[in-house]
Amino acid sequence: MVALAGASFAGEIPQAERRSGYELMSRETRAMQDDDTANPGMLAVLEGSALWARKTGAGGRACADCHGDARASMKGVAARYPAYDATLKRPVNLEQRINLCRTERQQSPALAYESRELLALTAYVARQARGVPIDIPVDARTQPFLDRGRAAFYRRQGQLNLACSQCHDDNWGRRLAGNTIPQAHPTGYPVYRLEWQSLGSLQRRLRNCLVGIRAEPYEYGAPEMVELELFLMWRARGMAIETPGVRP
Amino acid sequence: MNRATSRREFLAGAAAGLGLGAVIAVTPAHATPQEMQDAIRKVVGSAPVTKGRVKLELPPLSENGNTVPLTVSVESAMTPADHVRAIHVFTELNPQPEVVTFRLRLPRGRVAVANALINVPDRTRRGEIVEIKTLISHPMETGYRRSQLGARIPRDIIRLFVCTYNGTEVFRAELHPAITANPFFVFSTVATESGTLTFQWTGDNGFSVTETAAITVD
Repeated sequence: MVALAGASFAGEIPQAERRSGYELMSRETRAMQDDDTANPGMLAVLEGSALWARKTGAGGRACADCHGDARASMKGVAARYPAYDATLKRPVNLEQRINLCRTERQQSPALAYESRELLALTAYVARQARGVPIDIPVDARTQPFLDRGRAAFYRRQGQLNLACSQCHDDNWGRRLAGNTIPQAHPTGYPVYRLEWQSLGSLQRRLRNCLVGIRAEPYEYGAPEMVELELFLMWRARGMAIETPGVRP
Repeated sequence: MNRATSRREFLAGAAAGLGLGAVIAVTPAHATPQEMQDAIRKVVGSAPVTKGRVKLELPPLSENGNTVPLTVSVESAMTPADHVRAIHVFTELNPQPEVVTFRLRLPRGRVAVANALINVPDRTRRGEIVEIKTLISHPMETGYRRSQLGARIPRDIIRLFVCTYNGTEVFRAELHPAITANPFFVFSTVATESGTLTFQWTGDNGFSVTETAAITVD
């Protein structure tokens, strides 16, 4: 067991061998993602486009009043998140950025994590980055957060005493019961997951994994969650955004 | 398979072909439990059930039983004299044997299922077969699940989907709890004249959504 733990870092996936979860899915599930008229995630994108234009809060302003046409202003934005927020002095993910906009600029209450509205807006914004390679800029300000996210990825935790890397670096492509273990690249979030029969965020997915290894999951929006998100996005750097992805 | 948790849902697609009241059973007749036999008998009455002409496409191993794409094709000339009127899908491993019923009216081509995202070619030629895709947002709560506190979650499903072409019904699907959340249907019809396709979904708790799409036939 000691040898196995020591091997964790050695198992890091070489750049050229990285695969989106898409490539490990069945033909039928890939077809569902490929066809915008069949992809249930597009329902949320559609709803998000309506929310983008809807005035809200005491400010009586819509996202579109500041940002204009999302197809231009939000192009590629999701590929750069989580991004460092100079005021908060920490990285924020896309959901948090949307909520910061709501509370500060629109004077509207923050939307709850995994709420239909927040997922729809996030999916709509992230959709504008489809095909754009993930590019997480790392500098002195973000490095400590990235390092903590990396440490969490390689840290054994939970009653099963498993690290993320033991499945997703060392055993990807093999099976965990009936399911193929993916490399855990967050290229399609928010994703429509067949198991959920709904759209869900990366944090919801991370919580699923944490419960799976019988670790106590972090709260939605917890700094540890965002650090892990940051590391996963950095780890997937150069891979194309697929939002809204479909996954088993 | 545990009956309480064996919810096998289908994204159903049906390709029209020939044969009246084509019946599709998922498993061989000899292995069929009484409930499914009864459900089939209710549809066909005393008519004999014969094999053949019906092709069912679904993955041998599904990545997730919650959403299984299904395509049904029936060999048929699809002429006014000889055409498919209905396709019924049954399964013996669900709490209810009925999965979905498609009803076809001429003119028609191929059939598949989806939420209020509609894709219809806006321009086509007379006599062309046009593919129509519909996707609607709906939880399709089966009525068999329980909350974390053990309370039964009441059924909330779409019961009926109807597509009309200039007022004439061309496609109808009767849905059961086996159908997945956000049902997706693909079907086809024959372009006869310019006009409007109307799509209506109705279901439990007063659910009713109507959408329209214009089609231009040259």
